Amino acid sequence: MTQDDWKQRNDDIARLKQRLGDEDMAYQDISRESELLAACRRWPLLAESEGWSLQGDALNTQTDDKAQPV
Amino acid sequence: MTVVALSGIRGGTGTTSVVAALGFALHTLGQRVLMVDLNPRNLLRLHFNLALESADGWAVAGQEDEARWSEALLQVLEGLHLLPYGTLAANALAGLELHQRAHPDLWVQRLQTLHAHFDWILLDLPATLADGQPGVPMLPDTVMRLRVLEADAACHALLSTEGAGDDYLLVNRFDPISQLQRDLLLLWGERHSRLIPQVIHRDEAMAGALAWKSPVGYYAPDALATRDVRSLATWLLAEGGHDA
Repeated sequence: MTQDDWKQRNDDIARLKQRLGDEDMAYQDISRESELLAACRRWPLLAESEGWSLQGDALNTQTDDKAQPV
Repeated sequence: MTVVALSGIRGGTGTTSVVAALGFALHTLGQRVLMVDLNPRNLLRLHFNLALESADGWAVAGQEDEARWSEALLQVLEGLHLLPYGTLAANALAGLELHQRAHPDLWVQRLQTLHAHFDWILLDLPATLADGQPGVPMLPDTVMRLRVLEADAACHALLSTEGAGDDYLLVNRFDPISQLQRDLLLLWGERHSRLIPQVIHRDEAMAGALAWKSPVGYYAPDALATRDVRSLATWLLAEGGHDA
C-alpha cells in the first residue's frame, strides 16, 4: 500500500467519523501498526532499529548463526 | 530566493541527476534557477551537454583571481543557469581546501551576491569526499537541506546510526515491486516527519538522461521519473518558496 493510499484511507476514516457525528470515536489505525510489525518481522535490521530485542522473542528469526567475536 | 542543498545519505544515490532534473522542472514552472556544482568530481555539467573535457568552473575561474569565480556561470536556457565546479589538479584542489579553510564564509557571501538574480539556487553536494578533496563549504543557516536516499538497508542503517537532523528526506529510485522498499517507506513515513511525500520512482529514463547529456525532463518529458520530479518541484514551491 502506498503513502497516497494511506492518506486516502485516513481521509476516508475522517469523513466517516464526520458522517457519524462522533468526533471522539477512539479509532486506532491498527492495520498500520500491524504492517509495521510485519515489516519488522520480515527484516531483523528494521526490528533492531525499532528497538525490538532479537533475543528470545517471537521476532527472533535468526537463531545462533550470528557472527561472534573470536 | 530559496537555497536548497542536496546531498546523498551515502554515495551513489543519484543526487546529481536529481539536481539537474529538479532545476529543469523548477524552470519549467517559470522559476529563475541556478544549479551550483559543489562536488569536486564535477559531473553536473554533463547533464547540460558540456564536453567531457570541459574544465571550466567556479573553482578554476577563482583560482587566479578570487573575484572572477562567477565568470564560470553558464546560461542553459533563459532563466536556467549552471555553475560547474571545474576540473582542478590535485595540488590546486589542496590549495582550494586551504583557501576555504581561511575563508569559511566564502559561499555564504557568494550566495548573497547571487541572491537577487534567482528564485532558486540548487547546490549539488557530495555525500562523501575522496582523500585530499576540499570539504563542503559552510552554508547559510537558512539553506533548506535535502538528503537523497534509496529505500535500501544501507540507507536505513545510516539513518538509524547517524540520523538526518532536520534535513528533508527524498527517496530516489523507488521500486514499489520490492517488499523491502515498501516496508522501509512505511517505516520512514512513521519515523521521519521530514520525509518528502513525493518519491522519485526507479526509471530507466533517469539513467538515460545522463547518457543523453540532458536533465530527465528534457530527455524524457513523459517518463514516470519526470512526472515525479515535476510533482517534487511543485511541492518545493509550496514548502520552500514562502521566503522567495
